[in-house]
Amino acid sequence: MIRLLLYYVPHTLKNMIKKAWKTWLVVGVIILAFFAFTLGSSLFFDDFDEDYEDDTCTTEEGSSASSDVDISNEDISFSNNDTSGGSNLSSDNDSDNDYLSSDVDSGSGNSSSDDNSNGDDAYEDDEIEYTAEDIREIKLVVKSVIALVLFLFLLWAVDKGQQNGAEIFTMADVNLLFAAPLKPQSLLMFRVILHMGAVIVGSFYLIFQIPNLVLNIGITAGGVCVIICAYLIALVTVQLVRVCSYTFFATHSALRRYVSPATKLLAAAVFLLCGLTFLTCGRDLFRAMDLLFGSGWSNCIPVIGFLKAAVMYGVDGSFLRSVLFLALSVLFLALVAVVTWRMKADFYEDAFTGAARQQEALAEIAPASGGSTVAVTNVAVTEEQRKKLQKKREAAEARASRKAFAKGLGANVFFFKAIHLRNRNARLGIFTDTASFYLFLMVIVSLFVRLLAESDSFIAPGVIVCICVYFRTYGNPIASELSEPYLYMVPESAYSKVAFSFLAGSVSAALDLLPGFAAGFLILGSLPDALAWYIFAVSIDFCASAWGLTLGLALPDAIPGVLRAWLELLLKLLTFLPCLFVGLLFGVFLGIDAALFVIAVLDFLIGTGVGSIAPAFLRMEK
Amino acid sequence: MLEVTQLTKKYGKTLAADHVTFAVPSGSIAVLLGPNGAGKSTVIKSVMGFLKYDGNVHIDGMDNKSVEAKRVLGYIPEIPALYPNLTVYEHMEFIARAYRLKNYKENIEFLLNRMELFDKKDKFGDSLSKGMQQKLSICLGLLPRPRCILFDEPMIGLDPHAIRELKNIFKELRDDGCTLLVSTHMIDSMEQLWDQTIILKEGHAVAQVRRGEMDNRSLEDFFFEVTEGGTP
Repeated sequence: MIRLLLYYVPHTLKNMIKKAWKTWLVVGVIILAFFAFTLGSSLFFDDFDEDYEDDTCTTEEGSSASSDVDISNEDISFSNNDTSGGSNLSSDNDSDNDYLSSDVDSGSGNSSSDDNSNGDDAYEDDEIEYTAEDIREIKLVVKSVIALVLFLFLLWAVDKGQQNGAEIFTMADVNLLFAAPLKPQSLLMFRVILHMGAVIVGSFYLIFQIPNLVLNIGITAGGVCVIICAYLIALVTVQLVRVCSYTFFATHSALRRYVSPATKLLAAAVFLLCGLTFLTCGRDLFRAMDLLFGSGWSNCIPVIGFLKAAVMYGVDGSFLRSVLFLALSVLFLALVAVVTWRMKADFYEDAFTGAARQQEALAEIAPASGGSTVAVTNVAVTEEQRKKLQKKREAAEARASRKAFAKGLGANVFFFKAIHLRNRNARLGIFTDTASFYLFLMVIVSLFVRLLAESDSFIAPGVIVCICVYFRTYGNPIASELSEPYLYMVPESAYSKVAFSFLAGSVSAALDLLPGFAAGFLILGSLPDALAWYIFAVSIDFCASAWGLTLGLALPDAIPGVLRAWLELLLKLLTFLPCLFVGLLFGVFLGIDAALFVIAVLDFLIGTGVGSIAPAFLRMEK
Repeated sequence: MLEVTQLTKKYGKTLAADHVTFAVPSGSIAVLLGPNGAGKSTVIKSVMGFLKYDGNVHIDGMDNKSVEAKRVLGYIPEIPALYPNLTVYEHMEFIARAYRLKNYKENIEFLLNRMELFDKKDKFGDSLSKGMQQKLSICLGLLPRPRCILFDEPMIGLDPHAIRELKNIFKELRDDGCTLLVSTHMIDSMEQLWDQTIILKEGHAVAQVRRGEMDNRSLEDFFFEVTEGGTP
C-alpha cells in the first residue's frame, strides 16, 4: 500500500498541476497571490513601523514584536494597534495556568502594573480593559464551543460513514484495485490517507494565521503550533471515525438503520443535559459552562476532552500539558486506526455499488456539458436514499393534484419547471426537507431564546439559520439542470436560460426559509427583525450560490474537490467580509435591522454581478 | 481452473443468481451467455469477489477472495474506469506496483504496442476515447499475467483491429493454459473461439455444453433454442 501511495500521490499531483497550468486558473491564482502578498506585506510593515516607534517611546523593559502579556494583576490591559484589535487571553486568575516567561511588549502601551497605566498617552484612547472575569468567561465559551463542535462532528462522522462511506472509492479503484492482491483494509487505508492528505494540505492557509494569533491575540508561538496541531488531529480523527463507521456497518449492515436515530438521540440527550444544567445553575450560562466544560473531568473524555484541553493549555502557555493532551489524542487516533485495520472488512459490494452510482452520475454530467467544464457536486445516493426518494415521489404523485406542468415560455420554463417540481415533492406543497429543517431549527432556537434566555432578540436564531444557509450553498446550484442536455438544446440565449435556472434555486431557498422565519416571528414577536433577518438570509443564499454557479462552470474538471471548496470559501469570504464591515458601520448609527438590510442589498448586487459572468463559461469551448 | 459451486446471490427479494454451478478447466475459453438480466454480471462480479454471495468459488483450488487467488485472477470490466490524473503509462506502472510485479517494463511496452496505445502513453486517463479506455483496461488486466481471466463484454467500443488482436490474445492465453471466462452478447464474435458455453436465464444456469457436444448448430442457434425455445 505504501508503494502505491508513493507512486500515486506525486504523479497525480504533478499531473493535476500540469492540467491546471494550461487553464486560466493559473492567472487567477497568480493575481490572488500577488494581491495577498502585497496586502500582507504592507500590513506587516505597518505593524513593524508602529512597534518600532512604540519601542523607542516606552519605559518598560523588553522590546519584542510579540504581543503583550500581563502576568501579575487582576486587571489586564492592552492596546489595539490595528483595526482587528486583540486581546491577551492569558490570565493569572485562571487556576490552570502555568505561564511561560513573559514577553512584555512595552511598545504597545501595555502595562504590567497594578494601576493599569500606560507609558504612552498617545495610546490611551485605544486601550480596552478586560477583567480577569471577562477572560475567564471568554475561555469558557471557547471550551464549550470546542467540545460541542467536536462532539457534533464525531456524531456526524459516524452517521455519514454508515450512510455513504462508499463514496470514498472511485470506480477506477473498484476495477483496478479491488481485483488486485491487496487486503481490503489496505485499500481503505490507501483512500483514507489520500483523503486526509488532501484535507491537511487544504488547511495550509492556517500557517498565515500564526502571526495573527501571536501578534494580535497574544498566544505564544508554541501555543499556536499546538492549536494548529489540534485542528489537524481533529480533522484526521473525524475522517478516521467516518471510515471506521463505514467499515463496521458495511460488514454488519443489519445495524445500519439504527445509527441515524441513535446519533440524533445522543445529540438531543447532550443538548438536553446542557439545557438542564443551565436551568439547575439558576440560568447562569457561564456557571453551567464551567460545570460542563470547564471542570477537570471533562478533559478526560477521549478526543473531545483531550483536544479541548490541548488547545486551552496551549492558549494559556502550558506547553507541556498541551503536548501531553495532544499525545493522548494521537494515541486515540492510533487506536481507531488499529481497530479499523483489524476489523473484518467486507465492504466491496457496498463500495462497488456506491462507486458505480457516482460513475453513472459523472457520465451523465460529462457528455451533457457540451464541451464546457462543469463542477461535479456529490450526487451519489445510497440504495436506502433511492428507495426513500422513490416512496416520496409516489406519495407526492398520489396526493398532489394531477395538474400537469404547463407554465412558462422560452427560457423561463426552466424556472417554472424547477418550482413545479419543488412544490410537487414538498409536503402540503410547502414543506420540503430543507424547509422542515429550517423550521425545526428556528423553532428550537427561538424557544430557547424566549423561554430560557427570556429575550425576544432575533440575533441567535438569525445567525444560526444564516450559517446553515451559507454552508448549504457550496457547489454548483444548477448541476442537475446541466446534467440534462435541454439547457443547451433549447433555442434561447444562454444568459436567460442560466439566469432562470439559477433564479429557481434562489426562489426555492426563499420559500424554504419562509416558514421558519414566520415561526420565529410568532415566537419572538418582532416583525421588523424577522423581516430583516429573512431578507439577509435570502441574500446570503443568492450571493453564495452565484459564486458556486460561476466557479462550477468556470473551473476545469482537473481541479480537485478540496481546492474547489477552498477557492469557493476564499472568494465568498472576500465578498462577505467587506459587506459585513459596511453593514456594521450602518448598524452603529441606524441599528441592526438597517445593517442587515444594507448587507442584503450589497449581497444581491454582488451576486448579480458574479452570476452574470457564469453563462460566458457555459458557452466557452474547451 | 475456475470452479463455481452453488453460487446464489439475492438483491433484496430478487434472486439474481440461483445455485449456479459450473467449472472451467485450465486451457479453455468459456463463454457466458444470457439475455439481459440473466445474471451474467452478477456471476462475474461474484467470482471476482466484489459481491457477497452464498456458495463457493475457487481459483486453482484457492478461495477467490484470498490474496493468493487474486494474484492469478485478472478482470476486464464492461465499463472501463480510469484515474483521470494518471497517464496511460502511469496506469500500467501503478498496477505493476499494486501486484508487486518484477521485470514488467518490457511487458508494459509489449501490451501497449499490441493495443496500439504506445504512442498515447502520455495521455491522461480522462482524455482517452471510450475505445482507448477499453484497450487500456485490457492491457491493465493482462499485465500481471493472470492464470484465470474474466472478461465482461470486452469487445464493446473496440475498433476492428483491436477486436482481432483481442481474439488472438484469447487464443494465446488459452494455448498458454489460462482459464478464460468471457461474458458477451456478441455471440458471433466468439463463434470460432469458445470451448465451453454456459447459458444463464433468470439467474439459473439452464445449459452447459462443450464444443464437441454440439451438432452442426451454431452457438447462436443453440442460444436462441435454449432461451426462447425451451431446453434443447
